[in-house]
Amino acid sequence: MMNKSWLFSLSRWTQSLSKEAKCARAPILHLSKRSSTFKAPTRPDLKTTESETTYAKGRENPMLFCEEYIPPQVQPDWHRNKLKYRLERMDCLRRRKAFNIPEFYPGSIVAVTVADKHAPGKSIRFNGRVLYKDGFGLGCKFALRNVIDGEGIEVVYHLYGPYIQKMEVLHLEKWVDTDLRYLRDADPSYCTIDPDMQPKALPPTSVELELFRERVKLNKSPRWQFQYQKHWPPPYNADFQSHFLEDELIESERFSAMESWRKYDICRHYDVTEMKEEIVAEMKANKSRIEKADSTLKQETS
Amino acid sequence: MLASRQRLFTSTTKSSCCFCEREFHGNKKYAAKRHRTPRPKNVFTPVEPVNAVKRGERFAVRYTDKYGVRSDKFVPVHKLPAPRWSWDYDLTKDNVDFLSEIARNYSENLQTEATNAPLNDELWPVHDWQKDSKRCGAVGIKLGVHPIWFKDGSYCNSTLIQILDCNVVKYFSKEEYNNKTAAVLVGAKNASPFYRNEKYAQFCRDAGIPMKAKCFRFLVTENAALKPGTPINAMHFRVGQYVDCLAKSIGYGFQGVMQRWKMAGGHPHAKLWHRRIGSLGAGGKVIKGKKMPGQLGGTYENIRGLKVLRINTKYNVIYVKGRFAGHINQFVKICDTSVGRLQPNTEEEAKRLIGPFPRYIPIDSNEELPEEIYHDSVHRMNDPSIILPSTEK
Repeated sequence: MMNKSWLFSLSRWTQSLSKEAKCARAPILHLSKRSSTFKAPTRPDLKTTESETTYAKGRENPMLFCEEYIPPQVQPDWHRNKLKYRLERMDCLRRRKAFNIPEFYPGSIVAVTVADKHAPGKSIRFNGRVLYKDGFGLGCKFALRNVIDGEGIEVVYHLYGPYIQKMEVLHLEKWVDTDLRYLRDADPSYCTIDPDMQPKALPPTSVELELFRERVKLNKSPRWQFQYQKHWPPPYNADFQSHFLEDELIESERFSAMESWRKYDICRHYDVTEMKEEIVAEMKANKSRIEKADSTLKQETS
Repeated sequence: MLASRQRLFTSTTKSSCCFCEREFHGNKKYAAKRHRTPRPKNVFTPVEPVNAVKRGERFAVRYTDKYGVRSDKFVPVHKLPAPRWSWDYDLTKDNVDFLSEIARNYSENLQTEATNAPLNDELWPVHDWQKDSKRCGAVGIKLGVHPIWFKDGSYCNSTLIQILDCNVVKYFSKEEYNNKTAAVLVGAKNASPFYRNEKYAQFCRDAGIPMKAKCFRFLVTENAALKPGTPINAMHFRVGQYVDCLAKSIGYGFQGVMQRWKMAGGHPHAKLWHRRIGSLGAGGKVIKGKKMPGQLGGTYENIRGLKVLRINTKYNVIYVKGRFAGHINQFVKICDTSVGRLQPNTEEEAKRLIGPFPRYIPIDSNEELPEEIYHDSVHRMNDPSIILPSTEK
């Protein structure tokens, strides 16, 4: 039954239509506003809300930026090749896509399962405290130290080595120092870690990590090649002032005083802020570049 | 008596080196090896003594002394006389800037034409591989070193070499060169056409390519003749083949005996003797070849038998197993191995140990090459972690 008011409102509506809509062939239904039972459906959200994890100040998205993506400081300028850095960063991103390398800092406790042809079962699990994480790109290495049956053991692994089958962070901690090799002379309780230690709850990435500011007491006189008492800057987490002899203290003060001007040396200052922006922009583009490059590979193998 | 003493002294044989005409007393078999082995005499075209060459005559050891000149028509590019006056001595600054810009654009256009457009003139015939035939190599730039992992868990340090704007500059046939082998000049990395020798500029003009920063010479058999102007890219080599790399080592200048020959020197508490040679030897004279201070580095070093593990066709980069001399961004001469046990005897071995002969010719002109080509034993970074198969019964 055709309602007159319906026809009238239809004509009114067609006049208000634009030229393009009038030319459209498909019939357009007009829903009357008077019916009370009808409720217009909610508009579907076509934009997919990606889980945007916020990263706190000291922590970064490893797909976009890492400490090992910063090229080493090399002078003169013609001694570096930027193409090599770009190719190496692409390889790092490929590995990170295939395997989840968790976030950790020197001082945290990490367990690593590694492929070893000489081991029964062809894999070995080792956990320990991270002493240092050093290097650029694919050559980035980190060392784990653990004291097992009174014997101190250190093992060095490549961060991006494909022989690493599994990596778990048991306790995430961030110390002020980045080089903790003085723990060899400290109380062994800092490095004795139970091989069956259970992982603790990791704080979410939006939370800023508190730095570990306790001072470690050192036991015996140092015998290592790495003479940290002469190092500048002097380590924060190590309390070696209390057990050094007076002569050694004076010498170490002399050494640290000789080099304390380094913090004012502008030429040695490695400004990373500009580089970080470039690297982040580059890594965003690398995602699509890798897909394009590896798609040809798959065609070859299939 | 003096006379008898003199007679004793002169009774020893007086011998002379076969090619440098130096005389020395004593039996020739105690002379240094380079004076005993017969070598071709120095024959090279007389060169106008320009300032650079006059300065160089101060140094007794020359390129030609060490290697002997293979052909009287061949002199390396850096030994040719430099022009007397700089090209811009009578131009204004505006003109100079204008000409430099033109030269840059011209060289860029030339390079793209040489790589993309097919060779318009008649193509030189392509011959099949035969035993004892050698093909030319490529010239690249050393990018750096990073690790590569294999599928059995081991790893090695591999150097990256980029083959940048590589073209054949000139081909010398057997008769032109030295009646024994043919030669090919290959150059890499475009450079400014100014401050370069006119003879070399003529070679590049005939080939239709911009002037190159560095050229190397490859000795080649006649069946591997290449037309001047042919581009050479990373596909010239094959994944899994073996390669020799020649590059100039890092120069440390005039160095003492401790750095140069790793002598021990004095103990820390010595007062008057720290970094000296010590004894000069016994016998009343100093033997030729005695280790003494001198030039360290800055010489061409050849490392043989390096395996090619991976090729990146987009940037023309070769990943080679091992390391060789030279700093980053140094020019490298890459050619097929000269190692005896890796020489191919059959065609199948030639396909495994040597790249495509005489150069890479794509089957289809529109063929899309895969961007990364890996060797079978190399682990690709986008594959999952290595799990070794267990050998339990």
